[in-house]
Amino acid sequence: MSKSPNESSLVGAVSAQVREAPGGRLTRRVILRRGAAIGVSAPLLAAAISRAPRAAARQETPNALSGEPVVIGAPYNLTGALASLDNPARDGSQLAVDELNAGGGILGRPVELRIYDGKSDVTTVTNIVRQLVEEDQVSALVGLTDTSYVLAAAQVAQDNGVPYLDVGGTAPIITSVGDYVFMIPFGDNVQASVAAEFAQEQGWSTCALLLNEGMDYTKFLAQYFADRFDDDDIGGEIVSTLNYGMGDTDFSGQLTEFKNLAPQPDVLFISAGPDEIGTIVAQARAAGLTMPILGGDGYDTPLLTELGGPAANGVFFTTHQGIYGDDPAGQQFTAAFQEKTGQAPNSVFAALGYDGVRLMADAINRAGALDGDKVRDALAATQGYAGATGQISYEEGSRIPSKSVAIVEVRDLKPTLLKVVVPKTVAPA
Amino acid sequence: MASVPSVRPGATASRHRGAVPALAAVALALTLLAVFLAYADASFNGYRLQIVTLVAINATIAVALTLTSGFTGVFSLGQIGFLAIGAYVGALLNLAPQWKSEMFLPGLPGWLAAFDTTGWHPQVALLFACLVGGIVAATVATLVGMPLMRLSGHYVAVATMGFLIIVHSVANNWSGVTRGARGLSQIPSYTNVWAAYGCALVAIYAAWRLRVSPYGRAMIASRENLIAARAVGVNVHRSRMIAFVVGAFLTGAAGPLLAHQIGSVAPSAYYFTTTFNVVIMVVLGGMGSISGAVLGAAIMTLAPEYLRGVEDGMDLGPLSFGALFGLSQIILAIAFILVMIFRPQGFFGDRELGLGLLRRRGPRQDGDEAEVTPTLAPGLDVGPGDGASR
Repeated sequence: MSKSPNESSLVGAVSAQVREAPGGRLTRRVILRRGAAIGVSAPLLAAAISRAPRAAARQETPNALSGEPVVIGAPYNLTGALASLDNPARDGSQLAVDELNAGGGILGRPVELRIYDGKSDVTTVTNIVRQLVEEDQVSALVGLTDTSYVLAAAQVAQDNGVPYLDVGGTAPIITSVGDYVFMIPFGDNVQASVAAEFAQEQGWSTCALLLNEGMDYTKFLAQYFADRFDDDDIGGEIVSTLNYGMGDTDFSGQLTEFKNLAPQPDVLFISAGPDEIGTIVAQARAAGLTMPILGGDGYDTPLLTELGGPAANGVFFTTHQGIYGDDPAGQQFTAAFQEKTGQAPNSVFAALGYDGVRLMADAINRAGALDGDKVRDALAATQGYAGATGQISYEEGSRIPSKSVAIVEVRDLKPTLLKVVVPKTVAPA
Repeated sequence: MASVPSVRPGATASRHRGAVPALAAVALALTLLAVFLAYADASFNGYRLQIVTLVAINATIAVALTLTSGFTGVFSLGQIGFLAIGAYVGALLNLAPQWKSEMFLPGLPGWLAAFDTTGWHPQVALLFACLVGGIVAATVATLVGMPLMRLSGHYVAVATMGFLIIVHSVANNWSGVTRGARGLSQIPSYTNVWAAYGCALVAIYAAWRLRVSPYGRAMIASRENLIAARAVGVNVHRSRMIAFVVGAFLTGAAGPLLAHQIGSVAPSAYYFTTTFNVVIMVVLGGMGSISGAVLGAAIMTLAPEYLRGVEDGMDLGPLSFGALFGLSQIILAIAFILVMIFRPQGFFGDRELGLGLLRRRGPRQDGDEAEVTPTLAPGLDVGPGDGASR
C-alpha cells in the first residue's frame, strides 16, 4: 500500500510542530509541551483514520463469494472481569467466520465478524451493541458469556428486531426478553437435572449441598438441582445445605460440618464458580470427605486440576459437549481450532462461540434473506442442528435449546467424558 | 463570614454590571443547545443519541460531585452509591408489574410489586422516579452524612468508600428485592435527551446558585482554610452536610435516568470503575468548577467511545496494526497523566466558563492567583480539605 495522504499529513503536522518553536530554541518545556500535544493528538488522528479504511482492510475472499459482506456483530468482553471466558469465545466465533469465508459464505456472500469490546461494563456493552445494531446495521448478533451483559444486549437486539444468539449466559430468564433472543448453551435447569438423574443412577441418594451465595449462576444451579433431586422419580434427599460468600478462601467450617454428619451423605453437590472449586475440593479431601463431588459447568476450566491437585480426581461435573469425547462435530472443531491457533481449546466457551456463528449462518441461509423476522423464524425452527457443543433444537415456543449435556469425571487429573445425555425431566425454569 | 478570603469586595458590583449580557449569553447558549438537541433527537440513530444522553447524565453526576467534593474539599468516594440507590428506586417503581413477578422478587412489599406506572405518560413516570430516587438518596445521605461529614481528608474518602461498599453488598445480596448480582433488567427506555439535559441543567443551576450563595462561600472558605473559616464563624459541618445532601439528591435523581437509558441495573455497574470515572471527570475539569465538571463529563463519555476506533486496528502506510483491545484505556490514561503533569488544576481549575459574565470573578490572573494563595495567614493553612482541592 502506498503512503496514504492521511499519514503524510500526520507527519507534516508533527514536523511543523517541531519547526515552529519560538525563536528557534527548543527548551525542555517546549519539547515536553509539543510532545504532549503530539501524544494526545496522534491517537485522535489515528482514530479518525481508522474509522475510514475498515472496509478496505477487510480480508480478501479468493473464491466465488461476491457481493456486499454479511456483517455479524460480535459484542464480547475482551478486557476486564469476563476476559477469560469471552476471549476463547471470540476466537471460536472468528474461526467459524474464517471457515464460512473459505466455504460457501452466507447466502453466497462473504461474512464479516465485527468484534467490539464491551470492557466487562454494562454501559459500554449497551453502547457497543447499539453501535453494532444502529450504526453499523449488522444483520445479526452473536456474543457475550455472562447473563448480566447478555440481558443488556438482548434488550437492544429485541427493540431493534435483530436476531441475537447468546453464547454463554445460562440463566433461562434470558430468553424472556423477547422472541429475537436465542441461547446456544442449555439452561442451568437442564444441566442441574442431568446431574440429579446421574446421581440417582450412581445410587447416591443422600446429598449435602454447598453453594456460593454471591453468584446467580451458583445460586440457581443449586436451586434447580435440589428441585430435581427430591422429585419422586429420583427420591434423593438433601441432608444439609450450607453457603459461602463471594471471595471466600477458607471453607473448613462448612466442610467440617459436613464431616460431622452421621451418616455421611453419598455425594457432595458443590455449586461453585471456576476460581473457587479447586480450593474447595482440596480442602474437602483434607477434611476427610472422601465421597464423590458433583457440580456444573463452572468446573470446566484448567483451574480445577491446577488448584485441586490430586484431590480433583473423583470429581464429576456436567458441562457443554464440544471439546470432550468423540462427537464428530466436536472433534472437527477441536482439530480446526488447533490448526488455526496452534493449541487445543482449553475452554468450552470457544466451542460455544463457534456454534453461535455457525448456527446463525445456518439460520440465515435457511431463511434465504437477511430480514430480521425471517431469520428469527428460521432460528426458532432449528431442529437437530449438529453443533460442536451438541445437538441444538428449539422446541415450539422455546428459545433455549433442548440440548444434550456432557458428564465428565476427572481421572488422573484429566477431565474424561463419561457420557452425553438428555435429561428425562427438566426442572421448570 | 464576609471576611473570608474568597469573598471579594467587587463581587456584587461585577455581577450587576454583567447582568444583561450574561442573561443574553445564557439564553443564546440554551437556544443553541435546544436546537442541537432537536436536531439530534430527529436525525441521530439510537447509538449516537445514547452517547449524547450519557454526556448529560454523566455531567449531572460530575456536577453533583463537584458540589459535594470540589466546593468543600471533602473528598467523597461514595457518590456512585447514591447513583445506585436512585437507579434501583427508579427501576423498582417503573418496571412493569408482570416483569416484577416474572423476575421473582419475593422481598418486595406488596404495594410496590403491584405499583403500576405503565399507564402513565413515560416522561411523568420518569420525572416521578427521578424525584423519588433523589429524595431517597438525600435521606440516606442525611443519615450517612451526620457522622461522616465530621471527618476530613483521607478519612472521609475511606469512610465514604465504605458507604459505597455497603450499598454494593446490599444490592448484591438482597436478592428478594434487587435480584442480587443478576440485577434488574427490562427497565422501559423512558429517558430521552430532553429529560437528560433538563436534569443536567437543573443540577448546573442548583450548583451555581449554591456556589454564589452564602452557603457556597462557606463551603469554599472551609475548603481553603478550615481553621480560618471556623475562626470567622463558618459552621463547617452544616455547610458540608448541605453540599453532601444536595449532591446526593442530584446524583440520586440521575440514577433513574441512567437505568431507563441502559435498560438494566446491576450492582457491578455501580462500583469502583464508575466511581473513578466520575472522579476523573471532576479532576480533569478542575475540582470546584461546574463548567469543568461538565467538560470533564463530556470528555470522559466521548473520548472512550471515539478511541474505541483505534482498537480495531488500522493501516498507516507500510505499517499495519492488528486489533488491540484495551488500547483505548491506555491512551486515555496517558492523556490524563499528561494533563495532570501540565495542568494539575484541571482544565478550569477553580474558575468557570463565561468570560467573567456569569461569575463574579475578576480578570484571569488576578482571580486565579487570589484563589490559589490564601491571603489569610498562610502558615495556618493546614486544613485537611486543602490538599484534596487540587
